[in-house]
Amino acid sequence: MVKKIDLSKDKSHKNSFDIFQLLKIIVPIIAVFLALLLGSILLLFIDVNPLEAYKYLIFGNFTNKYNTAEIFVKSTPIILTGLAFTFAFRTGLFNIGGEGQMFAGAMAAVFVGLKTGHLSPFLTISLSLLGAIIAGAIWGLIPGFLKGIFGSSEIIVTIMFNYVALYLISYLVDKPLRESIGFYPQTDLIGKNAYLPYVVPNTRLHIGFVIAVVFSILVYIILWKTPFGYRLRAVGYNPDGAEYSGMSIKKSIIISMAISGALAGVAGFTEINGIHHRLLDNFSKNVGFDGIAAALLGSANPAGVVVSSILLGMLQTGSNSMQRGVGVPANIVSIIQAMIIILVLAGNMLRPKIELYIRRKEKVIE
Amino acid sequence: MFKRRSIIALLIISVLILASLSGCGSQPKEEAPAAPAAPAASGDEGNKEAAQTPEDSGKDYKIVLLLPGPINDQGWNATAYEGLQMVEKDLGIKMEYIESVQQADFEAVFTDYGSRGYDLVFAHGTQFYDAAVNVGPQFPDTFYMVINSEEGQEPNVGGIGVREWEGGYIAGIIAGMNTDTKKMGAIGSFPFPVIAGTLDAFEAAAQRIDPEIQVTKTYVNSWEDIQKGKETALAMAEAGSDVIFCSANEVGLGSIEASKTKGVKAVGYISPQNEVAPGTVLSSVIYNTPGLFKGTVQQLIDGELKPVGASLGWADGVLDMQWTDDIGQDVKDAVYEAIDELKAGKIENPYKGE
Amino acid sequence: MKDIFNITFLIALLSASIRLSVPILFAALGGMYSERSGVVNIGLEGMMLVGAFAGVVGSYFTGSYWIGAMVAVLSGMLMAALFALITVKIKINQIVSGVAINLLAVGVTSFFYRALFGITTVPITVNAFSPVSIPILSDIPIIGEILFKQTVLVYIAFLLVPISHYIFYKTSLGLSIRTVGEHPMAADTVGIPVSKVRIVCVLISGALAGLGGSFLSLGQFNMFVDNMVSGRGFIAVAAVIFGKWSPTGVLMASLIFGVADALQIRIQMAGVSIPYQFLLMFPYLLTVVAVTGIVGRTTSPKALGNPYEK
Repeated sequence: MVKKIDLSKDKSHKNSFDIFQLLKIIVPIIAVFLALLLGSILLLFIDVNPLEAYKYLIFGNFTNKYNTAEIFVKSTPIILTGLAFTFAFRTGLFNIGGEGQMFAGAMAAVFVGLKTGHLSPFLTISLSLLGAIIAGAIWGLIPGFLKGIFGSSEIIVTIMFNYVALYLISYLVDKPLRESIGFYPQTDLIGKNAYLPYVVPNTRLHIGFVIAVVFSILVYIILWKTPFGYRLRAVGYNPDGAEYSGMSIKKSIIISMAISGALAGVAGFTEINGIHHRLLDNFSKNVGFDGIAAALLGSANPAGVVVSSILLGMLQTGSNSMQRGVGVPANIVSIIQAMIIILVLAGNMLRPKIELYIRRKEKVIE
Repeated sequence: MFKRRSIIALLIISVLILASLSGCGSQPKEEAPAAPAAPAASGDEGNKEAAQTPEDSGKDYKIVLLLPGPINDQGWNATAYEGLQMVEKDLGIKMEYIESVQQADFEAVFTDYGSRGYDLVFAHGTQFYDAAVNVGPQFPDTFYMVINSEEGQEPNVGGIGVREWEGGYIAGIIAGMNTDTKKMGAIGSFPFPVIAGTLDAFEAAAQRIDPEIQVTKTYVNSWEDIQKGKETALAMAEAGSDVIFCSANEVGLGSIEASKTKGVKAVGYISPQNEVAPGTVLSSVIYNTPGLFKGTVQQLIDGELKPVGASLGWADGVLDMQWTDDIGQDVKDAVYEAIDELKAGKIENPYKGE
Repeated sequence: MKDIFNITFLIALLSASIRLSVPILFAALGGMYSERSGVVNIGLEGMMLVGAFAGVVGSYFTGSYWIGAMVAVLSGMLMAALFALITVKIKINQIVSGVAINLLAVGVTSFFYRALFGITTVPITVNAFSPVSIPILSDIPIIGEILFKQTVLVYIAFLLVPISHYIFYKTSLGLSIRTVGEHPMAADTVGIPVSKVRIVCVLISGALAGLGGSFLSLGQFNMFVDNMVSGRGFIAVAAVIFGKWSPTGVLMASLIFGVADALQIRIQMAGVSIPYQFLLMFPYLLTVVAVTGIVGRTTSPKALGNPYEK
C-alpha cells in the first residue's frame, strides 16, 4: 500500500500520488515491453514479424472461449503453489518444494481416484482432495521437521525433495501403477466420478480454479484473521522475540511447512482430477517455480498471488498461441518467457527505488 | 484453543462443502454442439472438394505436425521433420510444425487446430492418442493422424503404428553375423514396451544366428544424455561386447562414439548413421517415416483418409536399410531372408513383457 | 558376474567414475564459490549448457579446442554476469533467477545452434580434446591407468581443488568470501565490498560451470547435442551441499556421485533389477542425510540465499 504523503502545502504532491499508483501498473508493462523488444530481435533473425507474433502472444488468449478458459486452467496450480510459497514465506520460511509437494498430492489423488473412483462424485472427490492435502502436508512436513530438529536449511531439503518426488512418480508409473494395457508409463484413468466437473462447458475450465481461489481466501483468513496465523507470522518476523513470548519455534516451523505443503498438494489434486485424470511422468512442468514467481510478483499476499498467477497463465497460453499462430519455435518462446519473468521481477524490485527517486525530486522542487 | 479448533472445523466443513458443490455440479464435458454436417475426410471425394474453397492443384491445405520433442533429436522427431520436408518437396504443400508439445497441452492444441479448421493434424507419438480421441469428435472436418498408434476412431482419428521391433530384429541379424566374441550390447532409452520390445527382438534375432550369443540389455533413462550412452557402451565393450546397438535417439551418438574408441562395431538406428563413424557403423536400420507423412498427405489430397489404425513394418516399406560399402554379401542375404519372413508374418514379436 | 571383482573391471569402473564426476566437479566447485559468498546458484545447469555449446562454436570457427574451451569459460561468465546482475544488484529471489537462467540457456543454445548450423541429420563435429598421458605418472600400475590418461580438462579440474583450498583458507580473498557468506554486515563494516565479492564469486561459478560444460562437448565428444548436460548442473548443486561447501568435500561428493553413476550402469548390465529411479534419487537423498548433520557437522554459509541490503 502506498503511504499517503501529507504535504499539505501545494498541489504538486497530488500528481505524485497518482504516479505511485500508476507505477504499479506501468513498471511491469514497461518490463514486458522490454522483454518483447529483445525477443523481437531474435524473431527478426528468423524472418518472423514480431508484431504478428506478439499480437498472438497478447490477444491469442482471447480468440475464443476455449483459449480464454485455458488461462484459468493454467493458472490454477500456479495459484496453489504460489499460496504454498506465500504461506511459508509469511512465517519466515522458504518453501522451494512446491513442485515436489504437488507431486506428492498428485500421487495420493491418483491412488484414491483409482480405488474409489466408482463411488459417488462427492465422496471420491472429497477423499481425493483430502488425500492430496495430507500427502502434500507430509512432503512439506519432513523438511520442516528436519529444520526444526536439525536446523537443516529448508531451501536445500525442499529442493532435494522435489527430485525425490519426481523420481518416485517415475517409478510408480513405470512399475506398480502402470496402466493395464501397459503401453505407456502412466496409470489407468481414475474413475469417472473423480473427474472434476467443468465450470464452463466446452472448455477445460474445471472447478479446480474455484477451489484455488477459495484456498487463497482461506490462507488470507488464517494468516491475517486468526490468532493462530498471527502467531505463525510473528515467528516469521522475529523468531527470538516470538520464542521469548512462549511460542515454540520448532512446532511453528513444522506446522507452517505442513500447511504450506498441503496447499501445494492441492495443486496435484487439481491437475490430476481436473486435467490429466491419470498420473504420468513430468506432468505440469515447472508449476512449482511458476508459483514462486507468482508469489514474488504478488508481494506474497493471497490476492496478489491470484492475480499474478492469472497473468502467468496468460503468458503460457499466449506463448502457445504464438507458437501455433506464427510458427515461433519453442526455443524463442523459452527465451521470451524467461526474459519476461526476469524483467518483471526486476521491475518489481526496482519500483521502490523509482518511487524514492520521484519523492526526492519533488522535495527538491518544493 | 477453542478458536483453533473452530478454525480447523471451519476448514474441514469448507472442504466438504466445496467437494459437495463439485459433486452436484454439471456433468463433465457436455457434448459439443452439433457441428454442421460436413462429411468426415474419409470417403466422399466429391463432398471433400466442395468443403474446401476450390482452387488450382497447388491447394492450400492446412496441415500441422505436432512433435513431443525437438526436431534435431537424431531420432523420432527428426524423422518427422524430414517427412515435413519431403511433403514440401514432393507434394508442394507447406506443413507447419510445433515442437516440444507438453502432455498437459495436448487437448488444447488439438482443439485449437480443430477450431481453426485445419485439414490434417499429425500427432507424432502414441501419447497423443487419448487427447485425439477426446477432441476429435468435436471437429469432424479435421483429421487427426496419430503416428505410432495402432488404433483409430470414427470419424476422424487415424493411427499408423510402426512395428519398431522389426527394426530391432534386423539390427540383431546384422550384429549376430558380425560378432567374434559372441557378446553384444543393446542400449535402450526407457524401459517402455516399445523400446524393450526392440531390444528383445534384437536379442532374439542375434540368437537365431547363433544361440550362443549373449546380449546385455540396459537402459539409460534419457533421450539426450550422450555421456551416459558413451559410458554404457564403453562398459559393454570392456565386458566383451563387440557390437553395440542403441535405440535412444541422440544417446545413440554416444554409444557409436564409444564403439569407435574401443574399436568395436555399432549398428545405426532410425536415422542414417553410417557417416557418423565410418568403419565403426556396420550399417543402419532406418525409418522411412518421411514416406509415411507423404503417403498420408497424399491420402488427404485423394480424399482417402480412413479413421482406422494401421500397423506397419517391413511389409509396408516403413523400414529400410542404409548399407555401408564394406558390408558382407552374406549379411545382406541373411537380412533379406529375415525381412521376407517378417513380411510374411512368420516371425512373432519376441517382446517378453513384464 | 565372475569378473566383477577383478582388476580390469575396477580400473574401468574408476576411470569411468572420473569421467562421470568431472562435469559435476567443475560445476560444483563453481557453485561452491558462489554459495560461500552467500548466493545460491541453481543456474549451474544453464551455465554448463551454454559452455558446452559455446565450446563447440569456438572450436568450429577457429579449429582449436583450447580456444573453444576459453569461449566456453567466457560464455559461462556471461550468463553468470546476468545472474549476478539479477540476484546481487537487483536482489531478485535467487532460486527463481536460477530457474529463469536455465530456461534462457535452453532457448539460447537451441536457437543459436540452429541459426549457425541449421538442422542436420548428423550433428556438426569439431576438433576436440583427446586424452593425454602424463609421462611417468601414467606408468604407475592401476592408478596411472585411472588418473593419468585423461584429457587435460580432467587434470585442470583436479588441480582446481587444492587451488581453491588455498584461495579459501590462505588468502585474504578467501577470507573475504567466507566472511561475506557468513556475516555480510560484519564484512561491510570492515570495509569488504560485499556486492563486488559476490559478483566475482558468481562469475567464477559461471566460468567453471561453462568449462564443465565444454568438458562434455569437447572433452568427451566433439559435438553439441541439445540438452546434453541432462541434469548434471542440478546434481552439482547437491554435490556442493553434500560436500559441505569445502573444496575437498566437493571433490569427494563429486567422486561419490560419479562412482555411483558408473556403478549403476554396471549393476544394470549384471541384470540386477533395482528400479533405476531409486538410483537416480540417490544423490539427492544422500544430500538430505548430509544436511541433517547426522554424519558430521554442517555449516552452510549463514547468509546463503539472502540478498544483502546495506
